[in-house]
Amino acid sequence: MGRSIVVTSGKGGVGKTTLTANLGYGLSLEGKKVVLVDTDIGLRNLDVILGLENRVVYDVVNVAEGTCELQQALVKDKRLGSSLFLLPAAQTRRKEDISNDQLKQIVTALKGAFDYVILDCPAGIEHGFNNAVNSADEAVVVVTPEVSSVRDADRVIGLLESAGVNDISLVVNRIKPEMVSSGEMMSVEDVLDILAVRLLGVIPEDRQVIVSTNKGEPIILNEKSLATSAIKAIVNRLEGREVPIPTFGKRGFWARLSDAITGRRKQ
Amino acid sequence: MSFFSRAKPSASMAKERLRMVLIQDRSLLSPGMLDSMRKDMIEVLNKYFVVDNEGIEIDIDSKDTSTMLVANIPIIQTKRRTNQ
Repeated sequence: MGRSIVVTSGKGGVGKTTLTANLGYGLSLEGKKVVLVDTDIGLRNLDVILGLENRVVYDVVNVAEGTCELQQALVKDKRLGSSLFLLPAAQTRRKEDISNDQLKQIVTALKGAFDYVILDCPAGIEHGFNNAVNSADEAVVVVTPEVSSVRDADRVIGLLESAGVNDISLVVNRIKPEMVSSGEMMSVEDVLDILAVRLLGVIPEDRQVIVSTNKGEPIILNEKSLATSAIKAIVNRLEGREVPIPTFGKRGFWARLSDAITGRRKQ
Repeated sequence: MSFFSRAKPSASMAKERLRMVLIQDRSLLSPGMLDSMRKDMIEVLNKYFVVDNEGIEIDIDSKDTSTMLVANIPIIQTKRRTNQ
């Protein structure tokens, strides 16, 4: 039986879909059988991030309604042999067109055939969020070091806990080390202090990610990218291997001295 | 950011603001929490006082950088202590 993991955040635009896609690539490069499920009905995007938009025939709502078999809706990523598949969202339907039970059934069926079922969760905390969260055993919460994102993540963690998803880990995305060093961006430690969940990984801001998504290619194949090693490390941690998390951005001497004197940043 | 400058680094401001907003968010998250705390408090208070259960007001107040639990508890009568 495979693992089902929901990638969620509350706030939109923090990198859920890009992370989902790249975890998919990364895990399949490890030889795992992976299926990525786009649960953002009406706003499907995982297909374009993966560069599979021209190969979508059926979608998850078609499967739920019995228009097609589950296998017919799965789009295979030919670049990576036969180990990575996409179950696309419906683009011209609404979130309510698939029920919680229907999605759960689909995920359960997929868990029987795949090592990993990764659900790309829609932004927000409404029906689509509930569907995705209630179909997963584990959650990866994506957060950027900004007040609004951390606040939403806190709310989402609370909702995950009350939905009975207790295996929750955090990915801090788009950290800018130089801004952390100058005290202009919250550090990973700051975010962890506030959210108090297990850290799964830290991904530095990287312009190459935009280039990769422009092309519909996995960033993880770009060896020059700063994000690549961070994502590979996350893949390793998901696989249960211990990989140290590097520090992104060190606070300078004067900043630390000033903090020590004023008592700031302790608490 | 040097030691002599008085400007707070914006990351510290972000963290402080988050702390404040989350105290409120989290208390708003569980409306049952204040209720169950109220019941627990009444239970303890009743060992020492006769309090006006209906008149108790409990609130979480946030001002600038601090957050306070504010309770107004009308005492009807104090109890005579019979043992130590």
